[in-house]
Order: sequence, then C-alpha cells, then structure tokens
Amino acid sequence: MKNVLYLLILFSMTGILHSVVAFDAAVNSGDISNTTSGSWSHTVTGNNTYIVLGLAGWDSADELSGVTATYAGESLTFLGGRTSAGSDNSILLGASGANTGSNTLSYSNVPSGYAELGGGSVSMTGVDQTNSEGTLVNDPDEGNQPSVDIEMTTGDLGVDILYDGGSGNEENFPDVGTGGTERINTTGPSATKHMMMATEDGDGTVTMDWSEPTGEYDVSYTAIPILQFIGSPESIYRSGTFRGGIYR
Amino acid sequence: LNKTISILFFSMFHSVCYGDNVILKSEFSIDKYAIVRVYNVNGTINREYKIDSNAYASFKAQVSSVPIGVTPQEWQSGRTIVMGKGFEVGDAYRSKSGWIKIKYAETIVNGVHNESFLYLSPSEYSGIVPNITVTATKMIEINSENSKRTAKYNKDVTSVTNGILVTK
Repeated sequence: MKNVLYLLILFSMTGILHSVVAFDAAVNSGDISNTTSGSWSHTVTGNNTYIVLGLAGWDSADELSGVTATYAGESLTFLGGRTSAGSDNSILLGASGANTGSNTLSYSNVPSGYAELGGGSVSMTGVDQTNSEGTLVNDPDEGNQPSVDIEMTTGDLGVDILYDGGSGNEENFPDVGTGGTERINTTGPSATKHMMMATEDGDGTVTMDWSEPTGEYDVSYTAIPILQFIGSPESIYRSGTFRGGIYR
Repeated sequence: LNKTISILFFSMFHSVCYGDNVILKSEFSIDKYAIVRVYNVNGTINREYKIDSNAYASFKAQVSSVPIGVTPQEWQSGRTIVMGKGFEVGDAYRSKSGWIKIKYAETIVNGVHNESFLYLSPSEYSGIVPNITVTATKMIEINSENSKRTAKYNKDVTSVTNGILVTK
C-alpha cells in the first residue's frame, strides 16, 4: 500500500514519460537486383528498439507484396507500400523490440529475376513497443516529385523508402527534402537507378520528400511515422505494485 | 594432338560463325545458389564470389552464422551481403502476366559478378517456354543502346530462335 502511494506521488510529480525516437544505425543493401533472398548484419544499440527494412525497385512482371523478413530470427511485419507488377515498387517492413547487438537481417520471397532492387535497414530507439507505427502513406504518382504528408507529434520519427528510376539519365543521388536526413543511398543495377531512405521528425502534418535536379521523375515513394515511447512512471520504477502498463 | 587441334578448330569456328549458344530451359527456383558480396569501408565492392545452395542453406539455418570466406569483422560491420539467386544461365521463367525472364550470361571476373537478363513482354515472342522465338522488332531494340531498362552487364544477343539464344 505504501508503494502505491509512493507511485501516485511520483506520477503526480513527473506526469507521463515521453521518449524521443532517435536514429540508431543504418545498413545499405547495395544492389540486390535479381535476388530471391538475402542477408546482412545490422547492429542495434539502445532501448525500446525498432528496425525497419525498406526495399524498392522495378520489374516488368512481378511486384514486392509477398516479401518477408526477419531480424535475429524474429519476423518483421509487412507495413505496406506501393506494389504493382510492371510499375515502380517501394515497401517497408518493421518490428519493435529488435534484439540489441550485431544480428542478421534477412529478406526472402522476392520474385525470381526481379530486375531492379535495393534499399537497406534502419534502426531506432525510444519507440513505443506496443503501438509502434502511425499511418503509412504512399505517393500514388510515378511521374512527379515524390512527396507524402504523414501525421506525427513531437518525438516521433518518420522513415521513408524511395525508388528513383533515373529519368533524364540522372546518375547523382536525389536530394532529400528540407528537414529530412539521408540514411540509405543504394545504386543499382545501373548508375541511374537509386534506392534511398531518410528519416525526419516534426509535429503535425509533416511532408517527407525528395527531389532531382533534372526535375524528371520515375519513382515510387512510401513513408511511415514511427511513434515515440510514452510510458507511465511504472515503466521506470517497476515496483511491481502498479500495472498500468504503457499507453499513448 | 588431333583432339587438341579439333578443340581449337571447333572453338575458332564456333566463335567466328555461330557465337555462343544458350539453350533455354523452363526453370527457376528459389535460392539455387548465392553470391557473397563484401564491401570496402568506403562502399566500393571488395570481392564477390559464389557459394552453392548447400552452403547458403547452412548459412541461413543458423541465425548467428557468418558466411563462408568472410571475416567476423567484415560481417558484423554490415559490409557483407549474401544474396540468393534463382536463375542459372539458360533458365527461363514465364510469369502469370505472360512476361518472360531469361538469364543468358553470368561471369565472375576479378572478384566482380555480372549477369545478364532478357525481359520479354507477351507481344515480343512466339512459342511456349522454353521453345520461344523473339520477334525481329524486339531484337533490334535489344541491340540498341537506348533501352530504358538496362542490366549492368549486357552481352549482345543476336537471336533467340526455337529456344536457342545466340550471343556474339
């Protein structure tokens, strides 16, 4: 009973605990065109972790909606994306509670002979472990500047995946939009094909975007907010007498 | 000696008159083999090499394993990727939409892996996989330098007739 009283006092003093989602690490896939599966090592450090796999590309006959992935043997959830055979594709998969340390990230079930594919993995800390993702948004237009509006509150972190098919034979990487930070830059299978990822924070409706100097676009673009950990004092003190749990 | 001469003669005749033939087969599967690619710290490719399906399966079966031929440091730093491949040279696959994918060349030279594919829409070939013939119009496009979708390594294809693909 005394412990409960202490907790109530602490709660009234500290209120709800907010934790900002922070970028942890990123690993480029490199050109993984024409693969059916693949693996690389990704090192995660910190608390309340989350890992995102972004893949993007193009193929004449197949699309990426069936792709699966694991990190340290644990499955990632297919968060969504823009998937259509014969069109540009961009997908995101993710999982909270990513094991810390150096572990293997594996993807599989890519259609055989998928012509152009790349992306990478991005890990974060300070993420709500039960309600980790906001609303995913796809840009439906292949031919214009990639741009989506996602809804966040201060402390959340948006992550995106871009396929840039290189209209105008642009061999330079596209430029991340204002407020964004480039995390992944992959080229392949030719010099004008780029698969990019970025993160961006903000409050309210946040526009994530990329641009090309040529102003010509052949793209697929997807973004999602990753939500901050918001916990009660119980999350810190863990006395065992208060089971309020984590909530938003 | 006669055998050597015969081989040399055949090789010369073969390359001058006919190029290299790739006999197509209706086949593909998941992870027939794998390519291991190791990057340098600056992001350039250090080396690429092939491992067979058994080695790849063994690697995948152990969550904490390191691929054959890679140091723990190269693996744990995220500078190595292992990639499963579904096509060998000559494999042809027809998708539900009628598009055909053909892998017709693959090399690993000085630690650099290259492969070449053809992608054919339903209007660009006749016949049933693998015994297909590619239209003359498509052959002109394949050999032009203006194709929007280009593989990183393109070996010239001179014809695809009744399931036999001929390269220069």
